[in-house]
Amino acid sequence: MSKTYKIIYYILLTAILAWLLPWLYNLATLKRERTPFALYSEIIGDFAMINVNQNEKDLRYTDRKGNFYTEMQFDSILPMFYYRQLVTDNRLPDTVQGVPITAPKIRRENFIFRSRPADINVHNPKLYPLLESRSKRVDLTMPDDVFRLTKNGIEFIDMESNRVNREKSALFQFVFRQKKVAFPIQTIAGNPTNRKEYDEGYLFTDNEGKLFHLKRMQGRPFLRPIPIDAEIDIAQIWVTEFSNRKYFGFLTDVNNNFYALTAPDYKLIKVEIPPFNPKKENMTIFGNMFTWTVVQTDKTDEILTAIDAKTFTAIDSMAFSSPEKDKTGLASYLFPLQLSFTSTKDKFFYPRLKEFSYRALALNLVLLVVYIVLFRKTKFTATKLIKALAIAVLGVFAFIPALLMRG
Amino acid sequence: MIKAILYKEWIKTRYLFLLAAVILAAFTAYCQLRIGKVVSLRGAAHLWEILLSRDNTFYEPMRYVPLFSGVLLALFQLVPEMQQNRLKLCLHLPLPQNKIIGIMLGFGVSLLLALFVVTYLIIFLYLNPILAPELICRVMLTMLPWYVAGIAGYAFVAFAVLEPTWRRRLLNVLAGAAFIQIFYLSSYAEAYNQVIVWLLIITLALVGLSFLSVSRFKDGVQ
Amino acid sequence: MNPIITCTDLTHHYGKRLIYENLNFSVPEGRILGLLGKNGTGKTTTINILNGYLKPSSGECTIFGENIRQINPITKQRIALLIEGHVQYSFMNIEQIERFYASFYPKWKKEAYYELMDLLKVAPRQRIANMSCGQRSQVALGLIMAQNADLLILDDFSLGLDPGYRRLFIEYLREYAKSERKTVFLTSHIIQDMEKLIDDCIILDYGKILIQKSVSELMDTFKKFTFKISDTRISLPADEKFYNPAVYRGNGELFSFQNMEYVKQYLCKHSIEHSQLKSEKLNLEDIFIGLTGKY
Repeated sequence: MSKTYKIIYYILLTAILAWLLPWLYNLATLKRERTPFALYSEIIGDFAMINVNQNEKDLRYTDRKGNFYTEMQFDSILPMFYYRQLVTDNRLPDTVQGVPITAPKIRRENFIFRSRPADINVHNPKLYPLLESRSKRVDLTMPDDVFRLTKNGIEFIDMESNRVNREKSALFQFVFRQKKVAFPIQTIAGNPTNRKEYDEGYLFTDNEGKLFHLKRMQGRPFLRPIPIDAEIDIAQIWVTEFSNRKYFGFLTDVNNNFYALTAPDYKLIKVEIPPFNPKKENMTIFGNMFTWTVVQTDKTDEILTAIDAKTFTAIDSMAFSSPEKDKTGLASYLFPLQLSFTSTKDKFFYPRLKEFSYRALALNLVLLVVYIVLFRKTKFTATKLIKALAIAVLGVFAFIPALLMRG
Repeated sequence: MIKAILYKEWIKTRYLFLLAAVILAAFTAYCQLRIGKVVSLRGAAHLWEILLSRDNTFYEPMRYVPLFSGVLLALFQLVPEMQQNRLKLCLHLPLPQNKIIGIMLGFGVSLLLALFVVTYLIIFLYLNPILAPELICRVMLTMLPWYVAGIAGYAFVAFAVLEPTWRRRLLNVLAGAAFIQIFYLSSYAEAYNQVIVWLLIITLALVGLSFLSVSRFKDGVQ
Repeated sequence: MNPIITCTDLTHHYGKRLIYENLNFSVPEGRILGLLGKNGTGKTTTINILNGYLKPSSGECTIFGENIRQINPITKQRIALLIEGHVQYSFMNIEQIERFYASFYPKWKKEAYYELMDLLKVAPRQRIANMSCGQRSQVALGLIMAQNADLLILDDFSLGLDPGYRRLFIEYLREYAKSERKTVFLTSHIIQDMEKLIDDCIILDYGKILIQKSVSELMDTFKKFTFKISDTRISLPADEKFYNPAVYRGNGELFSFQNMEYVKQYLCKHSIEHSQLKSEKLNLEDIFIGLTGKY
């Protein structure tokens, strides 16, 4: 028994070190370089950016051609973004690209869309409040009930009494059947909050991959099948509810294509950006009436695409490389792998092995020799063989416990 | 003979058992009073909305209470065994050594489990009329790692207390601190769903680390 | 008669410090054997090895013919143990502790325990932790007697006992051991009173056994020789038959198993002028000091 636990303890210590040593090392050395903040300028027809100088504190306003701008010039070339400053300075132009603009119009048309992997890779309770989207009041109010999607239906639960509202459930269930929704529901998305201008309910795909729009209008179910190309296999859905009311939502398919579902005509239009996997990449869209600047960030790169807001086609694109920089570069020589349990990309806890490095093998071999020399006078046992193998593979993580547990 | 060992363990831990029960009950009651207050002031719907939209479960004050109980139980149960090497008495009993230690550790774990299961049940019974099963599950799954941490706390404090040398005791405490840290790495709701069963199995297996300490004690390691 | 305990070639180190080397001894059945030695000579080490709480560097011990590293739990029922300082489960009271131990030992004699407990003036519900050291020793002794084991191993039972309790303990133990034909192996660093208890003794010096003999033989044959020397600068030359020869302010003394004749020859041989040569018998404590020296 104690022999087994000796090995278990050894394994435990090795695992702990494989987790803590890289963590400590990264804490001390890892710095993600900040990428410049960049937006597509309709005025100069290029990306305008703010470089935060590495050494100095000052901001440098520039574009890709190397032109430098003053702060005031910079406001002017991004009028849709800095319109409030321009209004204050009385510098807001009357038209941009021949289109008349006013501050309220810009405000209404602008939107910022954000998607983070951590918001998608998460366990959320599968209960959905369905707001009244045609309420007579100005402000939205939260409903008294939530719905759940079962294997073959929808049911509403009254929150105050914690009981299923059979009447309402039957009403919705009837409509679902009428519209031939195939249960169970695959993907569903909505923004169940009353802190928004209006409510578009939920978008969901059913078991056959068909797309639907569900709303509550004056207490009645509104359920609309949305015809989409049968080839498109929807993976992720976002209901947008922007103040411009031009889109019901954004979607991705399993091939990482990104679509906009336009309003009010329910057209699914592909947005011409590089493949986007919402489970792995961050996305931010700074949208205005003319263009969207789509920023996609994965582990090493930041890709910016300027999209024509009318045609959803790409106007221009650029990329910043911003790997997580290990300043000394030593980690790959020290650690054959790294163990971690959490990630910024999800809200789950589970062990993950990453950063496998063959370069650490050299150190492993050195440590193995040290181990053999240190313990040459002691009896050779199966345990020692296991430890020697562990050191050869896991290096420093296995070497330190071998020293700590000697004697 | 087994009964006699359980009797001895009970004498050592009965007051702590009461104390732990009181602390767990008090914290549970406190959390449930907060929930009750939300329900009575703002309605059950508000409670549902908070649970649906945030990582908050209302039981966060209990986060470290099971750990605290586990650590205290191990101290109360095993420090008397190590004072003046009293463990010798235990190991001299006419039973196989691993059986004696196994019974003692089994007693400790069972006591903790009993406390935890009862609080868990109380929480379930309290929430059952107010919340949908989905939300009760969310609350209870979010709390589960804290309880497993309690068992881990017991396992590693026992491991350290029964260890005969201070050098190794320090190592055991550090290893325990690192292992227990795992249960508090993520504060997101339901973050541990995928692995909690494995963590529980591993933690229960690690309770046996104490066999290693006792074996070192028997070898007279100094 | 079969020895109850045998130790062969027992060697132990703590790290690099040698405690003793190649120790050999055995404890015959029905005898009370005392392992005597100064502090640090390895008495507790030996007890720990015998009870399986310490793995010796080398060598082997058997109790009832079984290797003590793999002793059968049933055999353990036949061995009673008193830990240094009469350590017991002090969180229990005298009733609880009796109930606890009773279930482990089929030959348990409750009366033996309570007979001794009745002599103590403690409340039945008083926790052992709140008792005096002497009272605790009686509880430990009572438990050992109730266990009704064939072999009793007592580690430094005299530690912390005042003379009254020490005497009480010794008398009770001897009476018990002799009437029930128990074998007793004990250690002590207090030698006083020990001759009233033990039959045989092993005297440990640093690293080795100095002597293993029955107490009566030891007391009969080991003597102290004293004499006066006029030349105060003289020192006594070493002789392998003598223990701790010394001169202090003109008084010579030495200890030996030899007779007067041998001592006279020794003094003559080394031309040591002396007068008033006397020999005297000693008690066990003085024998112990004579053998091991004062330092």
